[in-house]
Amino acid sequence: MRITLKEPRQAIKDVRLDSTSGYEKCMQCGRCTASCPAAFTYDDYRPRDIMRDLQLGNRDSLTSILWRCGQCYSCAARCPRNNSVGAGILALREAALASGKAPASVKNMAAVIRKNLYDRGETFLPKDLTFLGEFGPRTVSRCKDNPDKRERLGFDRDDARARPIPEHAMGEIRALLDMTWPGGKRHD
Amino acid sequence: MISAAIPQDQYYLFKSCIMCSMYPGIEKSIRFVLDRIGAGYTDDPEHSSCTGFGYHAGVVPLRANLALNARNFSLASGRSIVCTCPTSYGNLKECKEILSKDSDQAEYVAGAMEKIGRKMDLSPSIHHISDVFLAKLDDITAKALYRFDGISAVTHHGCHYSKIFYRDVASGTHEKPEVLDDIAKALGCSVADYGERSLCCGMGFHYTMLDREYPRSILKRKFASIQEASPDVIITQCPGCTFNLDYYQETVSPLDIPVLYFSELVALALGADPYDIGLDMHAVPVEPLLEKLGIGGGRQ
Repeated sequence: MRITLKEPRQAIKDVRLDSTSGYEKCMQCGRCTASCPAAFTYDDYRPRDIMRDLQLGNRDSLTSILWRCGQCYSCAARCPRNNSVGAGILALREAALASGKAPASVKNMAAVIRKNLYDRGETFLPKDLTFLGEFGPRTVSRCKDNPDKRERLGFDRDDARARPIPEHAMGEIRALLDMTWPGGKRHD
Repeated sequence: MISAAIPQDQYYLFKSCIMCSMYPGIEKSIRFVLDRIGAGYTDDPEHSSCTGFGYHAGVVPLRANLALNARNFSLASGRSIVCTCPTSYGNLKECKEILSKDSDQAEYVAGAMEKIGRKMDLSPSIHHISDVFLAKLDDITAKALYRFDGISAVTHHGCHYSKIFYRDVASGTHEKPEVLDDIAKALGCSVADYGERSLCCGMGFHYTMLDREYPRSILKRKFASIQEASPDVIITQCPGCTFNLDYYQETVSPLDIPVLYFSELVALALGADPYDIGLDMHAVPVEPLLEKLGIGGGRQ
C-alpha cells in the first residue's frame, strides 16, 4: 500500500501538527500507547493509531476519539523520536471546535471558560466546583464551608485570587481575547 | 543536584486558578516560606491566568493562549517567572518556545500586543516554585523549627512539570523526578517508592468538568500502588494533582492518607499555623498527621 504522509486537502496549518507532534517521524514503536492512561482506560483510544492516521491523512476518523486524551504527556516523555501525540491532539481539538464538530458538552465548557476569562481573567473559578457531592459525605462535611474559609484566608469568595485583576488590566485581557478568539467579540 | 540556572531572588510569582480556587492556603504557604527565608518576589495582581487549564482541555485556542501569555511575559518585565502550578510552568515554556521559533505566530501576537500598547518581551525565564525551594534548601533547613524524622512520605510529581519539558527536571530524571523527594528528605521525612509513581493523577482537564469516571479509573490504580507503600503523607507538586488525590480518596479508595502540597509541608516545618495556611480545607483530614508531626491541629 502506498502511504501518503500529507494530504493537502485535509491539512490543518498548526505548529503543533507541523513540528511539535512529529507524526511524520513516528515509527509505530508503541511506547506512547504502552504508557498512556487513556489507552489503558478506553479500548478505542491508542496514541500510536492517532499518529498512523495523521500520517495517512485520516483526520476525520479521529474526531470522535479526540477527547479521550487526558493531556498527561506520558506519550511525549517516552517517545524515542521526541514526538508528542498530546500536542497534536490539541491542534485537532482546536480545529474540531472551530468547525463545530466538538461534542456539545465541550462547546458548553468552552463558553464557560471563555466567560471566566472575559469576566475575571481566570479559566477556573471557585464556583466551577459544582460536583462536591460526588466525593462522599465526609468530604462534603469537611469542604462545604470552604467558601467561608477562603474569606478567612483573605481571598475573594468568588474569584480565584486574593485581589481580583484591576479593571484597566481586564481591559487589555478582553481586547486580546476579542482579537484572538474565533468569532471575535463576546456577545452574551 | 540543582541547576545553577535557578535564580536566587526577585521572583515574579505567577498565581494559579486551580490552586487558588481549590486551595488558596497553598499560595499563602508559598508566600510564608519565601517571606521566612527572605526571598524577594512580586505579587502582581495584573497578570491573567496562563489559560493552561482551558488550553489543555482543548477549548482555549492557541493564539489566545499565546497572546495572553505574551502579555504576562511583558508584565514580568525581565524578572524570573516562578509558577505555582506545573501546567502554568509547561504552558508558559511552550508559549515562549513557539513565540521564539515560529515567526508567523510571533508576528501575529506582536501585532495584537501592539494594539493594547505593549511590546513583546520574551526575556523572562520560567521556573516552577519547587525548583526554587530546591535551590533554597539550605536556607529552608536553617530556618526550620521542626524536623519530620519518622514520617514516611510518597511523592507525586506533576505531569506538566516532568513530561513536557522533560529534560529540564531539576533533580532526578523525567522517569523518576526527585525534586519533592529531596525537599521532603531535607526536612527529615523518609520517601518510599511505589510502582505507579509515574502514573498521572487523572486530572485530564476537560475530564474535571465533564466526565469524572476517567480520573476515578486512573486513581484506582494509583491509590492501590500507594497503599502498598503505606505512607503517612502524599506530597504533591501540582494543585490539580492535590485536588484529585485528596478529594477522590473517600469514594475511590478510602485510604485516609493526607495529601500535602510540598510548600504546605515546608511552611509547617518553618512554623506556619496549619489554620493560617488553610489545611482545614483539605478533604482528607490532616489533623492526625499534624499530631504525628508534633505540630497539633492549629486553631479551629
